Amino acid sequence: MFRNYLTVALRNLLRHKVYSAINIVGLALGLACCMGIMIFIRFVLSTDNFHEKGDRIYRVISILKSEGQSPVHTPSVSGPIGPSMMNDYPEVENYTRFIWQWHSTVRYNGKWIDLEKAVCTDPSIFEVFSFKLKSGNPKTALREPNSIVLTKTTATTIFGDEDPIGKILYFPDAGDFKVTGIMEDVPANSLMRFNYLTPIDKKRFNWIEEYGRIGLLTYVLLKEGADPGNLESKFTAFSKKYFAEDADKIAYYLQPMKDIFLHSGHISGETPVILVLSLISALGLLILVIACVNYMNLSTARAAHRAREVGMRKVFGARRMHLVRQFLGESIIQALVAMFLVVSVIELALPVCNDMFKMQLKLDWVLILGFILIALFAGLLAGSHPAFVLSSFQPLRVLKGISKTESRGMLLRRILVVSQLAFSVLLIVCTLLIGRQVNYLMEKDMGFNKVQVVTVPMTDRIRNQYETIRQELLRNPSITGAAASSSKLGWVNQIVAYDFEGRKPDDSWMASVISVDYDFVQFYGLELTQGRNFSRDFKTDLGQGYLINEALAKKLGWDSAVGKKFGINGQMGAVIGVLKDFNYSSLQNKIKPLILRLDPGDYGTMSLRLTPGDIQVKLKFVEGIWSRYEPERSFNYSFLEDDIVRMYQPIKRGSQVAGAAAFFAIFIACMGLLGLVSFSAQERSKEIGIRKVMGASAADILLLLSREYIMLLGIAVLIAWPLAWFVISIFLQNFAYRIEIGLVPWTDRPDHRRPDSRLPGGKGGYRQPGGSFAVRIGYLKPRRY
Amino acid sequence: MLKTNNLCKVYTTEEVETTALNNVNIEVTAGEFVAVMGPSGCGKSTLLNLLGLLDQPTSGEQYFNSLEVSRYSERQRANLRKANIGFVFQSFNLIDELTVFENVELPLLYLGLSSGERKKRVNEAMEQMEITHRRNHFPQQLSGGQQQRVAVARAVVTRPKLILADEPTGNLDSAHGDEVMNLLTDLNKANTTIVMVTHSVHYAGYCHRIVNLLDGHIVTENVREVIGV
Repeated sequence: MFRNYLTVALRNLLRHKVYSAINIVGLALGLACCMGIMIFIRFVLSTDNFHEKGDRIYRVISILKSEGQSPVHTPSVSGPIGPSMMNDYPEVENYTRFIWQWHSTVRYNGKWIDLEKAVCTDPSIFEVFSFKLKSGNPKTALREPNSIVLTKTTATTIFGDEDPIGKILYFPDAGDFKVTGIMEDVPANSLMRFNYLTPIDKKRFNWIEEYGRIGLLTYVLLKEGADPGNLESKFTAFSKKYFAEDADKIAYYLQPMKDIFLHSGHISGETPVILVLSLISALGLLILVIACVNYMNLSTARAAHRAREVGMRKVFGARRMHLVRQFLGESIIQALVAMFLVVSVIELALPVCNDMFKMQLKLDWVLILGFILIALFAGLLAGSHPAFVLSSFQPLRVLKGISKTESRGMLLRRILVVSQLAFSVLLIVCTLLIGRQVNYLMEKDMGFNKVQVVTVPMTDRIRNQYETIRQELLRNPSITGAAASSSKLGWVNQIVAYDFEGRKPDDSWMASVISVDYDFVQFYGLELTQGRNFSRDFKTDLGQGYLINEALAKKLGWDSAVGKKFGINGQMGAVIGVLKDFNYSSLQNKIKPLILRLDPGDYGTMSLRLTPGDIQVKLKFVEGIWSRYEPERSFNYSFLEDDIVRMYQPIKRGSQVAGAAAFFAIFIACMGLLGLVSFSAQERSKEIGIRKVMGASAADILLLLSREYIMLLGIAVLIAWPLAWFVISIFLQNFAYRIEIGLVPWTDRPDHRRPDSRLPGGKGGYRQPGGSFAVRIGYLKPRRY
Repeated sequence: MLKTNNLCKVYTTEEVETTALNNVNIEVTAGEFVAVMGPSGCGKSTLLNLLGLLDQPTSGEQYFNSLEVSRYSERQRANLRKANIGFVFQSFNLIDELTVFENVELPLLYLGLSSGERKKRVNEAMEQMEITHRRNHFPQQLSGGQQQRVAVARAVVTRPKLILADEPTGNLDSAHGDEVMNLLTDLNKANTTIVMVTHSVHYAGYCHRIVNLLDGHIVTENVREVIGV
């Protein structure tokens, strides 16, 4: 019997090539989305799963509470927390601490090499985590303060073919380091993709033993069978023991290693990865459902072609379940064929993807099993409706030819088509609106002048001679301005507690702070609404003068802030001016209170404004001066405008994912429409012939065949529009600064293009597949019928 | 073999109620060759479908081999049908995607016979109908007469006790029509009971008995002489 089913299925596939192709290609595209997402998710879910003791490793998270502000969850804790926990609690078997260092320069054999992403850590890193040393002893490799362990790739970059063990590397800010170990590269699916390790040196990190200074990550390894909940319950006493009267301002808990990647939204403030993955999966599944709907629609529309077979099988004794099995079998076969097509493409594409995106994606048996299951699911879903429609045929009616003229399930088919189109339109509108929001963020005036600004990170040497360097740079007319600040505008993340006139002793007030030089306000074109800028003429400005923004003045209820007593870090002084609010961090956030103070010792970034043109020549000039004052570090720079664009990359990626989903959804839905229209054109060929004989023009026939689908598209748009509006309204709530949504996604945007050219899936786009077929039929000569 | 008592069939739609058969009493004994005749819409096919257990009567009793089957479930009817009844249709109703061999084999699949047994029976049926040389052809590659031979082979392959033929010659020219009638006559001689619906007085002449229907009633029976055959 199975062979008979298979024979009929395969011959049907081959006989109706166009429909088979539409079904299989549609299913293949839907499956490709799902399978691609499955590969990606499997990779993502494997993040840091290679640590053998992973189920016992926890990251210590601290909750910082301050008056008037919501508690902040941060993985950044103070240095003694790890050792104290191990000392106090027998449940803690071991701990290791991480201090990340992003950029450094190293000298070997007189050559300077830039290195990125290093971790200063404890020797116990090799006991807690499963990083394997290729050479060197994990027990002793990081014992000496000036030892260094390199990853294989870093070692090759520095030493080439030489054996690195025992070689000396010179770091300008930390001296000579001896290579004591080489380890395998950290796998791509790890969040700890460092390039080398050095021990935590108490001399370099002199704050490491202070409970009051936070600044490193701590991982604890619990003993087998230890209950983390039980341990956490002792942390209140822990805070009391080490923080005395400040104990109520800090609390700790343990975050399991496996949760760090997926469930850290409350810590990073970003969308939790698990939510992003769920959204992507839902999109993939919806696209697969669109492909299945194509199959359902085409199969039920063409049901009459199978009616005789169904009738005869029933006459010969087939029961309904036999037929349901047969038709489900057919859809499953097509889904499996589609799956094999996709797997072949994936096999070819994976190595290229891995090269391009520096990932280690691979197919394994779990994924293959997953693919088979998703293909079976698609087959069952796609085949379910047709199977029940087809198997419900009454042999008598079929054999009398009744169902040939009966339009089975027309209503359901229309509903399905409208759903497909509505979903596609929804995705298009969302893509356009997210795209507009991203453009808006990138183009919005942030309240400071970012044009032609190059920022350069400062080293100790540069900071110490900043004034001289500045003078020298400004002698070049191509450099129209220079300023120094502790952080780059857009990335202000330093928060301090401040003191002010009228503050009650228990109040704890926090605000962002930037340490700037005298030229900063003018350089960035910041506007003052009250008072004056920092001035070299007022000696007290240094250390006692503060500029605050309007948000802070408003928070303190100061209509006239100038002259009010104000201070941070115990340095009391006065407010000398109030700055008009400007966006010193991402536009996702509202403008919060900000303090500007003069502090040359805190400079971290130099900002230069260049005149347009010949940028490379001007940068060479800056580099020349830089290398004179800082011979031991390479010159790094970036354009502020580019950095700000990069800040919105994650949202842009979201819009790209929505765009890709929209493309797939539209493509598959259009293929389905093509199938349906070509089918109805065939069915109605006689009618068309007669109409042509009666004098209908090609345009009349085109309208005849397209009318229904245009109407369905109209309904879909009516459904999708408010839905898109709703979805985007929710999305935009994440942004303090957002676009206004008009009635149509391209309104309120002066654009030189015509509106309808901006909507790829607009009416023109959808009508086309049906339309082209209708045109073909319309031009056929009547005598053919 | 077949017997009906006051068999009625009423088709009901939203608007109208049509009585297709009204108190029909008919008996067919084993080995008979019966023709059912009458004008279009008189209920011939309805009667044949009821006799073939493809449909359920609205009222009345119906016996198949002494079993009262009028209230049989779809499943019971399917089981009885597949083991005992062969069907031949005017429009052949061959499955386009299956070859001659596979079409003839189809009813045997639902009887659950072994592959060897199926092959043997299909070959026998094809030989009997002289279509063995066409075994690998598809229906569209055959003439109407050949297609009907395949349909007859498919009807006899289960070795049914009863064959129901609904205008088996309706789509054939006279030469092919005669050919099919000869086949049916041979089957009848081999002790297969046949009930055939036909419009053709000529082909009714091949039968032992003619039942004439008009507006759902049997008006005459056994009237070969009356209509001058």
